[in-house]
Amino acid sequence: MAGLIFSFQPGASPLHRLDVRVKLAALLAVSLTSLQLGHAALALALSALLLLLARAGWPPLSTLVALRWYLLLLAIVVCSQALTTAGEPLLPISWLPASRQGLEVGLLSAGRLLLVALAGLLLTVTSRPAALRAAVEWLLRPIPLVPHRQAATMVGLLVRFIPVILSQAAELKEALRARAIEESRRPLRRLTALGLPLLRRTFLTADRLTAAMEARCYGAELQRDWPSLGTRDWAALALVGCCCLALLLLSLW
Amino acid sequence: MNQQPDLRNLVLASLMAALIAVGGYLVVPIGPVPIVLQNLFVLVAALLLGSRWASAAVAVYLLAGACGLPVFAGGGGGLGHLFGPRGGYLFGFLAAAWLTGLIAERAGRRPWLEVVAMVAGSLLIYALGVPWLQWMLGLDFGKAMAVGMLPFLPGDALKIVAALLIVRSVRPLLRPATAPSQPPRRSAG
Repeated sequence: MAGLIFSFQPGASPLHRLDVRVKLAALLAVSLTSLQLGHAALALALSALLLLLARAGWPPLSTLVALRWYLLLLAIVVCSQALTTAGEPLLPISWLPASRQGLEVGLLSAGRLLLVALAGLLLTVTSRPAALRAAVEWLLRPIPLVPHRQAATMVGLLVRFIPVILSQAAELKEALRARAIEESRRPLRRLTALGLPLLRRTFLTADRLTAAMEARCYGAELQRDWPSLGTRDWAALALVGCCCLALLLLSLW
Repeated sequence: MNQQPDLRNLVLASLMAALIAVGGYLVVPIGPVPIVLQNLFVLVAALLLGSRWASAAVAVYLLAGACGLPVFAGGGGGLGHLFGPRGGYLFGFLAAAWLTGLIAERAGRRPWLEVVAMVAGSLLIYALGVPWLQWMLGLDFGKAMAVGMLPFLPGDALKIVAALLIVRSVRPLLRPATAPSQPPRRSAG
């Protein structure tokens, strides 16, 4: 499941067909908007994103299962906020200083983080890594002093490497199991049996990748020509903008 | 085969950034606090790549996260994380990669100096992360230390040992011009 979280899922949904720049801009807009949203607006936005993920081929339940560790982290955020914020006591237990205000604040910040995580998931699930790389480069180009081509290539490689590492880990685990080597919970044993071979393998993969990139003349100045945005892209951008604005208004009201 | 050193470092730095992201997704449930392996790979990157490319690796990781890609702990992402309560640790990774790399470059592969470099880097992560946490959540200093530093120290000691083992094992593969057709060389450790 962990492998699925980062990888592109081919498909033909309207989201797959959108220009990646539009999706990246939408993600940034959602990320900024999320900081100002209230409870009702957050709930609306979260359900909308879950529906969109379902449209892109990811049912809500498996999305939440894939994000289980993240949800655990968010639960910790909620608990720590509830316990540390002063206010009206939530439970009539004297040693458990949970407050209602703290719970509200915690739920709010956890919801905001989850919103951005779902939006990011939507982007990686529906966009090819190569297109994503090009879009990051396009985004960084106006910023001075940043080697935008290199940075974009590295982001593209990062996105591509994650599923490679996870699938190699799965292969290694199967190889160990086939040789009747039990999976150990002791950290050092795990490191020597699984971690070291995995890392050596990934580094060899990186080496082969370097050779392949060199053989394909990476480094020669390549410029990607962007087609101008179509009606569909502008419409989507306008729709996202309107939604963000509506959610902001709802939160203010 | 002579590979361009810059391209090689660029690919390796991307790989380390990916490992940092994977390290945030794998949660090792030992003891009361789940251990996340992100800072392990920050240290490994610093020892293997040196300060410049290790900071590049962490910077790319942060950039990917800031764009909203799900690379932060547990599969999160977005600016909300970068400037959220745990943001100080994320910026601490950048500083730690630079500092550890800087010391390690001067260590000449002497293990005890590399350990010093990693201890300094780990402490730098907390030096940025704990005050940030304290300020964001409005805790007092003792409470911030108890929540944001002390439970992780035993895990960090383990991670430093693990990082040394990893670096020992992987470094022979990184000698310049390892032709892809060569079988991987066995190393001690």
